[in-house]
Amino acid sequence: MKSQTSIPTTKVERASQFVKTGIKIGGNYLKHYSRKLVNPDLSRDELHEDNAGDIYESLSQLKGSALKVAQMMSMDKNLLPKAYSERFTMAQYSAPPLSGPLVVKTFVKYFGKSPGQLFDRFGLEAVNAASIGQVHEAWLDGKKLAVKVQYPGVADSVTSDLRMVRPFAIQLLNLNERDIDRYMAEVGTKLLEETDYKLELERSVAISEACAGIDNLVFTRYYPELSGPRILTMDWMEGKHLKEFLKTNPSQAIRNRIGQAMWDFYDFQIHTLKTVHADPHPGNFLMQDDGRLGVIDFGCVKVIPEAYYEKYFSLINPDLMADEVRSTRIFYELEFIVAEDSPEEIRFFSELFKTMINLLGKPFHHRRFDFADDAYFQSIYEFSDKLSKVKELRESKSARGSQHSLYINRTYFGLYSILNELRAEVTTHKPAWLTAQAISESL
Amino acid sequence: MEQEEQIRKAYVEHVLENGTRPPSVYAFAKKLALTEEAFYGSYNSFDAIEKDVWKGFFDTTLAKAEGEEVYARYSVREKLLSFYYTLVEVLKANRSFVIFTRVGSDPRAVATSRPLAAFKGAFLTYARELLAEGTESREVVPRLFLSDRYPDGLWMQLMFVLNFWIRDDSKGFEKTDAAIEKAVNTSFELIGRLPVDAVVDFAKFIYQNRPN
Repeated sequence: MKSQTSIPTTKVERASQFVKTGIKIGGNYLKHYSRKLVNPDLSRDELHEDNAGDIYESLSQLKGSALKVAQMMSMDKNLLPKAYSERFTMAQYSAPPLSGPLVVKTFVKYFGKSPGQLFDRFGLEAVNAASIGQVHEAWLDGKKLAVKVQYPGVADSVTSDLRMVRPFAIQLLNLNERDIDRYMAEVGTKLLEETDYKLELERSVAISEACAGIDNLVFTRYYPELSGPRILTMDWMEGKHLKEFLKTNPSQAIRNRIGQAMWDFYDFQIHTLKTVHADPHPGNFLMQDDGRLGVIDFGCVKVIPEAYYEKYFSLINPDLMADEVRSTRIFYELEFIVAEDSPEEIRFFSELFKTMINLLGKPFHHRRFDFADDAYFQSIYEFSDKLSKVKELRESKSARGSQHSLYINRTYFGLYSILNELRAEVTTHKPAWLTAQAISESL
Repeated sequence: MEQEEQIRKAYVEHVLENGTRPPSVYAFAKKLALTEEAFYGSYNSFDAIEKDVWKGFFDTTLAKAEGEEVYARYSVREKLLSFYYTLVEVLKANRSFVIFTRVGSDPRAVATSRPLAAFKGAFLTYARELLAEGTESREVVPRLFLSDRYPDGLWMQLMFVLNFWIRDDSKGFEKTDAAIEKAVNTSFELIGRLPVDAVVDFAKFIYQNRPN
């Protein structure tokens, strides 16, 4: 792992990092428009790519929560042009290592003992970087363990980081300020929760116990006595991350098995537990050659409010969508349309959201769904690209969509895109009430 | 020895409870059931006690850091980091006393403040040892004139860390940890091999091989 020589920390340094990026992006636009003078057919792809590169570079130097926001945006492929999201997915694999003595110090601070005293053997060199910490190998009683250690001061910097990401988010996501603030508050709480390893431990244990009955799913064991607010100790899990796993050319049966485990895992969490591991990016899953799926990192967990759950998922059922009165009411309740909208706007946005829901809900409308269907994903990208260019939507002064949707949408997009990369075909289990009468009879 | 430790403990306690030095050596000795003469057998002034308490911080820190099994395997940079982290731990237990001896209000005052004299001496010796070790491991590049100032540079860095720690109001002094990490990394970038060394080396070569 290439270590960065310094991390900008003070607010001024961080802010200047953003200013630099701003200037670069300005330059990219200049380049784009001057070229466009000569060649009017020039597409914006190259511009997006230039911008994504510069923004990514700046964010990756900031670490901490800015990196987290980059990750979030990278998941929301619906909100970002493809070039941005590809650059951003790289953000998941970089962070500067902590020095050995600081790791020792962190242990002494929380346990009064050094790692050498706690474990039989402890690798001071980090083997893996997470966005807010790093992972070390350790051995105890003949068992290999994974120990996550958090960077100092991460929790402190979350708020100020978010404040600085804000103008960029407004620019990038085409959202107005009111939307952004509501969403930022949601993201902020989640990020703060992520810095609390004690909470993560509780949630990991609770979710893995609740999901113990799902086939082909494996969880690690956590050691509360060896964990604290900034340190988390668990069994070392074998397995490969998605990209490496695909390089081993797993058979279709294995792919399907893993994909099925992943679908069932999310189906159970969302519809039964109503508490969901809301960070389905490839770094949080380890795939094993026999077709089992290991789940790690429960830092980001979204608790779905009951009232929101019912409205959001009732939209999946085509019967409801056919019912004009009921669907309009739900659109109001979910804030897709708001009181200030004119009748034309209501009609326009209702149509837009119906198309979107139909598209995103497609896997739910089949008994089995093949996520290798690239045409389906292309249609999603095209639709979201279209969505980002809809003048009415961009110029709309109102917030569209509840802040809870942020993490739910992100979860589904993460899930879909992993399944797509995995090229898995799965039986899309779902609660009966999500299925239309006509379809459920034919199934 | 026993008596000196007793005196130091009583002195620190007095300072912490009253926020001032004892009114006189006589009064202080009397409270300890000592004669003034017996006191002078150990220390000749309150200043000397403070100096010795600080020296004690250094000795405890170094012993603790070196006692850590991995210490011997650390690079020089890591050894210094480890020293700083241990130092702030040691000082944490004595924070009120540290603030009382008024390190902090003015960085220059700190560097010259009397209570730290013995502490400084010990640290400079330690820093020289580290730098010598670093020269051997090539983590430190000797430079004409500048190399002699390296230990002083490290002392100023230590003062920076101390002052930062005194002003730090973050939970568990987490920001100090970050400050230490960054300060030490930066200083070792500077005393390690720099692009400018290559430039000087190259210029020297060209000069020596200039056509006559």
